[in-house]
This record gives sequence, structure tokens and C-alpha cells, in this order.
Amino acid sequence: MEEFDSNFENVSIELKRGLTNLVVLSQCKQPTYGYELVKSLDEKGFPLDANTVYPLLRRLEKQGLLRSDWDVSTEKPRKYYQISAVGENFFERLKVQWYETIEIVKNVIEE
Amino acid sequence: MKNNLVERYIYAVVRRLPEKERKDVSLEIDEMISSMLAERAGLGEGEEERVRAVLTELGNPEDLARSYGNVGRSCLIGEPHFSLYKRVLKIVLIAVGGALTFALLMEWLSGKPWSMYYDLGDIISMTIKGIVHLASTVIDGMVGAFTAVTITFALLYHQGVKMDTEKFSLDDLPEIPGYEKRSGIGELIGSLVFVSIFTVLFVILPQINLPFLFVNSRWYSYFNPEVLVSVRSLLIVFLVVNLLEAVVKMVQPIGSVMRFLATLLANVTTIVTSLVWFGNPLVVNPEYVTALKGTLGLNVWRVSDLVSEGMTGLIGKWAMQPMPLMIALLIIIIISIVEIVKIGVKTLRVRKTTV
Repeated sequence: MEEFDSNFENVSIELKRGLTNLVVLSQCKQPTYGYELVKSLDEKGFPLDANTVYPLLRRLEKQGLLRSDWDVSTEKPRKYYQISAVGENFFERLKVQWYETIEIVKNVIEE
Repeated sequence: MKNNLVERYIYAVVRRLPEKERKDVSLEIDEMISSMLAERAGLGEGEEERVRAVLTELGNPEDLARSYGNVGRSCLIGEPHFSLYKRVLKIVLIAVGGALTFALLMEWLSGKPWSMYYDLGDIISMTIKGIVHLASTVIDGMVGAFTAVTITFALLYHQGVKMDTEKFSLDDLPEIPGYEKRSGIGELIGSLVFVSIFTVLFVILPQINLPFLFVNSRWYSYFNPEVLVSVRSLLIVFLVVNLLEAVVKMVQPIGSVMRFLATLLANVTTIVTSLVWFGNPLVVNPEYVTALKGTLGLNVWRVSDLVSEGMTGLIGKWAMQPMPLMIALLIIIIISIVEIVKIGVKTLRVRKTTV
């Protein structure tokens, strides 16, 4: 049973991992910083660790899907991320593909 | 000041990233940790406990560095292999160097008895030959060991052979280079002792300086007192600058520009003082020279005794300088340059890695 749970956990993580880009991009319509995103995703039932979110935001920025600005007005400087024009285009296509995939997978697994 | 554990954690992550990204990622991780600490503020934990809980939650800094990407295999040996490589290399080099030195010393001591060498020149020449042979064999052996260990670890790293990085302890986080690396009071006391002895022997009592030869109930000093008097101002500058460096080392950590400048100034002064003093044609006490010749029948061992005629012309006035002083001068110059380069490199490294 322990092995079953562990396998299930691994597969479940893999499934979620494929969706993190889509979910994170969806939450960056407004400028947001890493920990704000971590908390908001947790509240919405899609918890991601801070050590996953911060590097992911940076990778998405490198890919040109997000842009960032440092807010140095507070005691602790914060880097705010927001979706770029390219990112929005990317997100829309990814969203369409996700919905299509749901339909297809649903049909397949419920045959 | 940030919690040292937090700084060390951040350093452990960013040191594996390309230099141009380090500052930005450091600020991001710092902000992430601060937010997580603030989140736990109401849990009634102590500061240290809170920091440890957050850093443990963030996990192994190597894994976090890997999530930031760009931790490629562009270097010869990278982490986690590099840490073990350094440890293994240190052990292997000490073992090889120690074993070779011991074996050669045994071979040397069991050779021709010392009593069979009749004069001082013979003994000095044998000693130098022995040291050169020992140094070259030990260096050969160590270079071989270094190459073997380096190639082995480079292969392990590039083949992606897994190392045990699962075990992660906050107490094992690397120290930040230069962090709080100020010298202790011991080093200052050492400098004070050196400056005091040097001042007494060479500045206050130049006629005594280094008593080297005892003949006919009289000591003969090695250095020429007149030369010491003529370079007195330079010696005082040398002493003051070296004392100043010892003080700066106590108050400024490695990485500060002032510490680097103090080291640079002290070492340049040391080189200039040694060149002017040891380069003086009359550096050796004439009375000592006469006593050496008169009682032991020996001449001062000069550079020209060792090098060919062609070479003598090439090195000009240095050919007539005493050999031991020239060896000392060479060692002083090498050590001073190495010290300048070492502190220079450390300063650059610290300035790049600390935010």
C-alpha cells in the first residue's frame, strides 16, 4: 500500500507539474511578486512551494513570457512580475490546448 | 546585518549560478526568505528556530540552484563533485608530499656521512643540491597526483555520476568568502613582535644587527651598519606600513578595497626596501668579509660563483651580490607578489558574490 501511495503521489506531482506554467501565467495579469503568488495559489487550492515558484517566474521571464520590475520603495526590495504581450499570446494558446486536451482525455478515459 | 545562516544559504545557491545572475537571484531569494519568515512570525518561535525552519523548508541549496537553471557542465568539475574533489585532493597531496619528503630525507641522511665533507662550501653545495632534488621530486609527485585526482573527478562530473546530495544540513552551509574574515589579535601581536625586533636590530642598533660570525672572542655582524644607516628612512617606512597593514587586517574584512590597498602598499614597500637594501653593493659588513677570509679562508658566496660568465654580464651588478641574500630577495619578491595576487583575487570574488 505504501508503494501504491508513493507511486500515486509521483504521478500526481507529474500531472500538476505540466500545468504550473499555465497556472502561473494566468495569475500574472496584474503585477505580482513571488510570495504573493505562492499564497494566492495556496488559497486557490493549487499549492506550489516557494522554491518552485521563484525559479519558475525567472525562467518565464527569460523566455520573454513575463516582464519584471523591482520595487525598491519598501524596506525589502521586491521583484514584481507581469505577463508580457508574448506571454499573453502564449497563455491563450496554452489555455486552448488545455481545454482541448481535457475533452480528448475525458473521451478517452470514459470510453 | 542579515542572519549569517540566511546569507550562507543564499551564497550556497548563487555561487553555482553564472556571475551575471548572482546579484539578482540573491535579492530574490532574500525577499523570498524574508516573506517566509514574516509568515511564521506569529508561531512563537525564536529567531534562530524560525530561520532554520524556513531554510529547511526551502531544502538543499544545490537543488534550488538547479531549479534556477544554467547550472550546466561548462566547468571542469562542478558541484556537488567539486566539494569532495577538494577534500580528496588535499588528503592525496599531503600523503604524496609527506611520503616522498620522508623517503628522500631518509635516503639523503643515510648517504655519505656529513663528516666526509671537509669545508663549509661543500656542505652548503650538498645541502642546496639536496633541497633542489627534494623539491623537484616532491613537486613531480604532487603534480602527478593532482593530475590523476583531477582527471578522475572531471570524468565523474561529466559522466553525471551521482553524489550523495540528499543529506542536507544547515550547519554544513559553506562560509561566504571573506565574511568576517578579519585577522585576530594574534596576528597583530605577531606583527608588533616582528616590528619591535626588526627596529631594535636594524634601526636602533645597526652596528649589532645580525651577529653571524664569532672569531677571536668577537662577534661579526653580517650586514654593513653604514648601509643600514643610509636606508634607515626606508626601513622606518617599511615598518610603519607593515604595522598599518596589520591594523587594517583587524578592522577590515577580506573584500574591502582598503584591505586590498593596505596589502598592496605593504608588499610593494617590502619589495622596494629589500631591493634597495640587499641590492646595495656594500650590503655585507666589510669586517665580516675580512674575518671570514682571515680565519676560515672563505670568501663570501656571491652570485657570480654560481652562474656562468655570460650570465654574469647579463645580470650586471647583481652578480657581485651575496648568494644567500639574493635567494632571500627572490623569496621575498615571490611571496609578496603571491600575497598581492591572492588578496586581489579574494577581493574580486567577495565583491562579486556578496550583495
